[in-house]
Amino acid sequence: MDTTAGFWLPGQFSTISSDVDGLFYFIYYCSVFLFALVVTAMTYFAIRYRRRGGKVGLTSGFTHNTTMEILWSVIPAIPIVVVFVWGSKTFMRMHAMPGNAVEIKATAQKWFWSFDYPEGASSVNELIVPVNKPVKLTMSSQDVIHSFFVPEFRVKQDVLPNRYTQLWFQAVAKGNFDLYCAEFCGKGHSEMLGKVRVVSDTEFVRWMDEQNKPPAGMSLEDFGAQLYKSKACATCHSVNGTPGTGPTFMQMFGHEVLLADGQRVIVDENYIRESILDPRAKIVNGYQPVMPTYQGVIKDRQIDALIAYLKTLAK
Amino acid sequence: MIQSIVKRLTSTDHVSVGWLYAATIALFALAGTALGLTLVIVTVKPTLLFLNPAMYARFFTLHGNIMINLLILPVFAGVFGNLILPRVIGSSRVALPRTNLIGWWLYLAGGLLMLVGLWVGVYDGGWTLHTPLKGMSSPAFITLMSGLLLLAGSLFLASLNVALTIYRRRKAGTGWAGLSLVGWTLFLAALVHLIIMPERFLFLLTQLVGHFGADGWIKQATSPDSQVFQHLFWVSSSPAVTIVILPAIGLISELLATFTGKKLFARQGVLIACCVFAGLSLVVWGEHLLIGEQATRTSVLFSFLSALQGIPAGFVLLAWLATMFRGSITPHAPFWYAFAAVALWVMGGLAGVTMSIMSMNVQLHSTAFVVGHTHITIAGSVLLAIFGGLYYWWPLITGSMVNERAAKVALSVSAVGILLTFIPYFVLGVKGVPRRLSVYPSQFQPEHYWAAAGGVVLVCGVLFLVWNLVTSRKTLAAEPVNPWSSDAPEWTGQTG
Repeated sequence: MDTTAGFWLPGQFSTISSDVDGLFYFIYYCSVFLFALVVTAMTYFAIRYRRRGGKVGLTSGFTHNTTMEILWSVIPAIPIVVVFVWGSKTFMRMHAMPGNAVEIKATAQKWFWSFDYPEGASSVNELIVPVNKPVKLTMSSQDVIHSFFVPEFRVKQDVLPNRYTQLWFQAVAKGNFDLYCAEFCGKGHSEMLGKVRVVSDTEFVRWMDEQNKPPAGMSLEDFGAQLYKSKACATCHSVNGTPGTGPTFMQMFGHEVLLADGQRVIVDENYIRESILDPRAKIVNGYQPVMPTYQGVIKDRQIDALIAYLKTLAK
Repeated sequence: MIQSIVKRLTSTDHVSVGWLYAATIALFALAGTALGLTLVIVTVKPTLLFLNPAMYARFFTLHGNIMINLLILPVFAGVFGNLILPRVIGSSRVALPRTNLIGWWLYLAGGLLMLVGLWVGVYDGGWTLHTPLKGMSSPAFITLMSGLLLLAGSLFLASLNVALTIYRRRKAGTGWAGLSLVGWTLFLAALVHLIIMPERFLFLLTQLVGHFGADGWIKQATSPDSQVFQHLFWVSSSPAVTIVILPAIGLISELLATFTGKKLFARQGVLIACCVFAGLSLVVWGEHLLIGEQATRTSVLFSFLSALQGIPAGFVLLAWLATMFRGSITPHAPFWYAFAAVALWVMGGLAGVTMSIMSMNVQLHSTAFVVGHTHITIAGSVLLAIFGGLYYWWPLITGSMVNERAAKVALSVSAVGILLTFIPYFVLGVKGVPRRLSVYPSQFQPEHYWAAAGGVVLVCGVLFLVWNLVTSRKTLAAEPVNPWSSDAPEWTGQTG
């Protein structure tokens, strides 16, 4: 669904679109009415009270009226407060992150967008999201300020270097939508144009699964080595024997380890699978139970690949 | 010849300094206008008619910086403060003649340095100087920041002179109550300047010092943290709007009162409204950071204060209408300038209130709508108020009468140009087109055509306005005493 621009706002394709638009059209019609009223009154005065002969002078001593002045300070304040509260409520809704959202990391840099999905998938300049599900973006920039803007979703949020900002939306229809960078970011700013592709839930899951299969022609062991880095195992587990926050993977598979509770176990396929999905179940002696679970973050096929990789490290 | 030029450039006579400001501001503004016209013309094609994207960015960066720093900020203190203010308050001189002259020199030096910095550096982030200023060469950064520093100093000195002139050099017996609204608004604008300039000065200085490496809070303030930079920038840049709006209120009020043959309605209320507007403008800078990384409750507060600015603005509008009501209107040319300025004031102001509403701000921030709002307000309402004021006082300061028929034609052309150029930006913004795009989706081409056509009309109108002023000298030799039958003291000979 490409931007089919109407006279004013673009089509409504997120759950907050109608909130934003209702207020916009309210303000818009009030403004048009007020503008017409003022210009009409001024034109009428300019014609009606035009001097016809006679001397210029003070035609009326009426230059001050306290009641009137207080009234015309208070009365305009009412619509201003009304639209302010209305707008702030929508703003709060835009900023209240839903707990059950699909979480995606967005990275902006000169001059493209890249997105990282929960199960290891990633995409560049095309954000793929499921329809009718809240999506939460955690965003950061590699260089200057950028700004994530999808007009059809009525969302915009600056993307900053050295800080994270967040944004959420829930698309209500499938289709393709323009993703702009709204903050000037250098000469390629205008070409920093992405797409948001809204797909059905099953399509979204299928797409992410496809992303998680080992690339064609890659061995399971190599895929495991790649996951070792991309899933950040490398942060705590070395492959050269150096103890880190967690035990090293070198010479681990097939060997016996001493657990914190005094048991001794052999590191086999099932032990590794359990340690990835439920890391606190068996803690190697001398280490803290600090590893987060990868339940829901990692696929069976990826665990297979990691096991294959660990086997190569024990040879 | 050279001697007379040197004498001109070093004279501490305020009239001389006023004309120096007028001439230099006009030259810079001419360059800014040429850049602006180029910007609307090149965008008639979705991929730029000519210029490359880098040059396009440099053009809009220069355009914004020139128009804001070298035209609308100094024009009131520099031109009106020197040529008109002393006569309005009945003084033969300004309070600080030497400071006043130094102010102009700083203006010239700062302006040239800033432009050199922007031209030699590949920096192209618009007038808002968005950090991190990556890609800017060191000499260019130093030149740009030094230029802006000198300009801040210039504005400080010019404002100090205006404030003190009004404070100390009013004609004996003229109390604050007798001070015209033009004097009052120039005074308030100067005060706002004096309040914000130290912050701006320190901000720019820390950027400059931080560039050479420093520790502690300077390092913090100059770190690549974009949010700290933006706050420091907007603290002084956001109230700058007031410095422009307040004197425009003064000018419009003066013109309406004079040509309706009445006193300004609710003068005291208008003054209070001006003070409230000025006060609020000092504390609404966070409104520019609603889509940045700012706590929601902070955003709510800033946004609320920002929306409140609509109340004093509305009060002033109603006072103008009440002034016209049952007046005895002599529709001379300056009256129509004020008339058009009020209409555009309403349009720009309503767009401003819209932007201050939080959910609207999210959609409209950084879009072409902002371009429409700022230009309708400043390149529309304020511009026409300035020209209205110049037309009004031109006979007083030059001794020659303006051609009114030409002035009215020029106004009509300019007004059509303003609407034609900037309304399309409102439309584009609402449709979701970000500002500063050198390449845009082709379905938005019609709006860009209108804007380009409007730009040509507007530039013709403004050139005609200026030409009419400048040539008025020749058309009428007889010195008009009080061509507008004004009862203001500077016209009736009660002062000066």
